[in-house]
Amino acid sequence: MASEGRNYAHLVQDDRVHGDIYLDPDIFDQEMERIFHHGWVYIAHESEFPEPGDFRTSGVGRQPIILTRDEMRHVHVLLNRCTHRAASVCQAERGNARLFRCAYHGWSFRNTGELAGVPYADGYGPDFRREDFGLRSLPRVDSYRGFLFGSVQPTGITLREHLGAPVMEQMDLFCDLSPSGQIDLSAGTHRYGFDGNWKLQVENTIDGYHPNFTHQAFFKGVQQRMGLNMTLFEGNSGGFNRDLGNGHTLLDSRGFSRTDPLSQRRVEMIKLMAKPYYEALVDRHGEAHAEDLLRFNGTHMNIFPNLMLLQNQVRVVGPIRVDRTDIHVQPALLKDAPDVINTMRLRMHEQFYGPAGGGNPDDAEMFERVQVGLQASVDPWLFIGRGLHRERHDSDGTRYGQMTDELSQRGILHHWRKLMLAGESRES
Amino acid sequence: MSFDRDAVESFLFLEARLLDGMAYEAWLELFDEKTLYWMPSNRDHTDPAREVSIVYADRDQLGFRVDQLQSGSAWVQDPPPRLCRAVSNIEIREAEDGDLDVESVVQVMVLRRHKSRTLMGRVQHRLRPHTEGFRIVQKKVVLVDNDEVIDDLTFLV
Repeated sequence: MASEGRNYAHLVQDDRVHGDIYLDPDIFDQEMERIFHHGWVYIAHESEFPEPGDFRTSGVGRQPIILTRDEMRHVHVLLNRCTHRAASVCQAERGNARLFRCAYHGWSFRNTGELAGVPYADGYGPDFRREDFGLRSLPRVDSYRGFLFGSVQPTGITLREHLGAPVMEQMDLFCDLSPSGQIDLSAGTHRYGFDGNWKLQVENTIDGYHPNFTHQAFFKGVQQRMGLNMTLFEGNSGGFNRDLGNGHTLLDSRGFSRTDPLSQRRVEMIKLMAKPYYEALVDRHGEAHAEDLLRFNGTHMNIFPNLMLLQNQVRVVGPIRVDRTDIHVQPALLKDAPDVINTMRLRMHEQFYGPAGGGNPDDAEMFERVQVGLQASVDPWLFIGRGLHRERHDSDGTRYGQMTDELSQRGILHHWRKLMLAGESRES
Repeated sequence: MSFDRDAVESFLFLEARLLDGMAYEAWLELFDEKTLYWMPSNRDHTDPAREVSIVYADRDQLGFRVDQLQSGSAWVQDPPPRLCRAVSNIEIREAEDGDLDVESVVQVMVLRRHKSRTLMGRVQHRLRPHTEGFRIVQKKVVLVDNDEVIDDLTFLV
């Protein structure tokens, strides 16, 4: 490794970061402990296990979990680890079960986590108490708009403190496209991966500089076939790049959408194809906000460290190894919206996203090219200084810059540095 | 039996050869104007109106994909993968109006940047007789691993 060692203040500077943060397996291990096993991490959405008995397996960092809904519809988040000798007790990603039976020695657990049965129980002495051997619960779980987050640590800031008002406002924009304010993640999942570090995807999701280059073929096709001219990602567009604090970042096209003819065209199209849907939004939110919801069409936001809400989709970044990352993308259906709206959302999603989409694979290609380039350590620095001279403070406490600025990358990586340093002082 | 098995096989082999050679414009010519190309995600039991697919495209949207593949800036094709596929287990049934339902198994080796992987799946073609053999009215590709992590598929199967 480079002689700098793991001096995080050196590895992440104001306008540059050292390549080791994407390459060093020891730094990856520390990220797992200091970020994924410490603060709030997105784990699943409530719509993925809606009925009593439903479950969904997921993970927090490296820790396997089961989310269950019991007969009383209470949500439990349990570690997927038999309290006897640690075998995972649930093998399916989704399903419905009242009991989880460990196949190794036959211990069984209710979907509340309680230990229900132990074979040949006379083998345990009088001190053995079943209530001591329930499946362990994730120490903290909380949710906002159905998005469930968990933390391995029993204490720390609340989820609402972690998210902050500007993030929750964007989550509202995402969910309020449903006439009942609820999204539904039952439409299936696109899964793809790349041989590169997880932070490359996080930085890319709110990178307003790359679309006109990485995705030029797609945008050219849109321009030629549909006559639609995408101007949002030009260096002088009215879109903003916003640091929402705590590592959360936003490509903010709200102001842009209010004057953009394409966004208005979408509103008019929805009025034509699904008038009752439009009217339901107006009833609930008033005409001005309903039109804004449709113009904004969701959001384009990172919620640090692993959740992204982009237009129609919920994207989750799964770090596997320092140089391998899996991505799960779920298009969000709008509960109580007409089928024509939800089907349109699916078809639009497929054009750009997923393993055969017109966009995702080119992003993944860039991440793999970065991972190759990073091996050149003669000059190990990556430059993230774009727009540093023109950052501005907004009245809601966020900082913002022009759409193509690298304010959001700085926001992510400077928060990352803060967490890595905080972990270091805890451990020392 | 009123169909010509050799003709059907030759047609599938022609399609395979065009895809292996990334001759997308010629490949697109094999499709009927009102075609549907469907590659489900999440196994085979899906309702495309309510569930996401990997590809769910009409002829125009296939054309959009072909344009992008041939644009010179589809970076995931730079360098292009080397592709070779086998089509086998071909079963043919007569459908209504003289169309044929053809089910086959496809196996594709993909080599790119020194790494190879294999895709495999079941394919259903609905073929309509045409002066130049057949036209594809519908094509459905169910990859074995369509609900697993899967890397680039933009080159199409």
